[in-house]
Amino acid sequence: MAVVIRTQIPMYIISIIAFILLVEYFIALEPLAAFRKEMLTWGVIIYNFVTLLGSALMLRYHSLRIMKPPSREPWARYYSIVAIAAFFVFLGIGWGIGLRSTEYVTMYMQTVIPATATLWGLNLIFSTMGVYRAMRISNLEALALLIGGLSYFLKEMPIICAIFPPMTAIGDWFLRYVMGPAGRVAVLTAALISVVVCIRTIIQKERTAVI
Amino acid sequence: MLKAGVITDLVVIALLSGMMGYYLWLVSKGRPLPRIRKIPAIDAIEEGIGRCAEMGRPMHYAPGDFGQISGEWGPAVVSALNIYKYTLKLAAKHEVPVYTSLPGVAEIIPLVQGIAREAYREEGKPELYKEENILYYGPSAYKIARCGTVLRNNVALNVQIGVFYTEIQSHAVARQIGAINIGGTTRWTAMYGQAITCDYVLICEEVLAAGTLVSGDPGMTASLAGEDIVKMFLIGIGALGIILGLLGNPALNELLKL
Repeated sequence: MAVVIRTQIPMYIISIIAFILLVEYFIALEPLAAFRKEMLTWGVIIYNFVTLLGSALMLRYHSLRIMKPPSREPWARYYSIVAIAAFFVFLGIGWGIGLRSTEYVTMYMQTVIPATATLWGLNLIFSTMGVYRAMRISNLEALALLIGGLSYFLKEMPIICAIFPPMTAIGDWFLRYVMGPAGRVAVLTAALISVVVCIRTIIQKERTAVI
Repeated sequence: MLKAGVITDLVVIALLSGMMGYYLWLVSKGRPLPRIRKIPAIDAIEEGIGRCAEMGRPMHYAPGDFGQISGEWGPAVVSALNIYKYTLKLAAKHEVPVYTSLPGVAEIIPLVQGIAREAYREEGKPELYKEENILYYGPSAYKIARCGTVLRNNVALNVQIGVFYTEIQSHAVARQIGAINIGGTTRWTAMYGQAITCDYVLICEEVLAAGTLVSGDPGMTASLAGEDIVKMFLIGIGALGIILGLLGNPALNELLKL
């Protein structure tokens, strides 16, 4: 019975609601439109509960890591302590003083922004490694790809832009005049390839997932 | 009664439902379904796990950057979790430790933990399940943390199948330490990252086909078969549209606007 309650009943509820919403998409009927509106409101409510559930799961996850850290990485518990402390400090100040307060904004700007920038910095190293290893800078195109990627990453790093202010303009130039047109060419090429694949599929030269 | 401009949508939905219904009917009658072809990347998972066992090294699995099982990417996330369960069962059989890097969405933690627990239990080795090997890093850090997990644990197989933004970094790290890279994403705009760094790659909807293949669920195979027929029909419409468009005939264009 427990399995039925946990798996079957939610499935029936979702199926019925999805069917009604599908009918509402095609047919103009006032009660159906009202039902859709009501369901959207419930969707927002449920989504907020999911966010709450996510926070609770995050706290549980880190609490367990503090109580029983991984045997190979006992120091991981300190990261979890920092994570939980940061969660409560942000929650307290955001709730208590307000999300638009100077305290909250300053705290956000002084912690989350530098941390994100650090992650971008690390991302730069691994991405460069990936691009280099994949392309080996063996030709002009591979070099162009590396330069384009570097310009974007460097533009996203505040410290680089602080030391070398023109970096923002250089990164934007690459995005606007090099990567944009290159992206359009890539999309056109992909579209042409799609047409070829379509024709090959129709004349049964291309295999689909199901034989 | 019908809203304006929805007739084409209605026809496609009716066709899709009809084809899926037909194949589900075949399932209910016990008649044979179309066979799903072998997918090299799925075969490579077993080879990679065998290699891990021989080398005495663990493997790494990431089921995507998106963890929501609802909305646009829901089916792909479910497929990725099917492949995850299949991989874990193979790993349990060969007693290979698996490190799992979760997406940045905390809601997925219990789901993945439940799937892992079930996979080990089904293989008769529940003692191999280690919650500490299922790693959640939060929304911003998971990309870099994945690289660290691959590098620190010196994995011999790196499987990343699901819905990803561009994933290139951890595959590059895995390649550096000599691991086999298997990737797949349903986002065609992010395909290139895995295509250039992986040894085996699942291209877009192959992720869904692979999820169906490893699940062994006839209902899912029926849906896939129905979807494939409708896809071929839509490709035909597309090709016809191109030809008529080149001939300057707007008939099909007008018809699709109904």
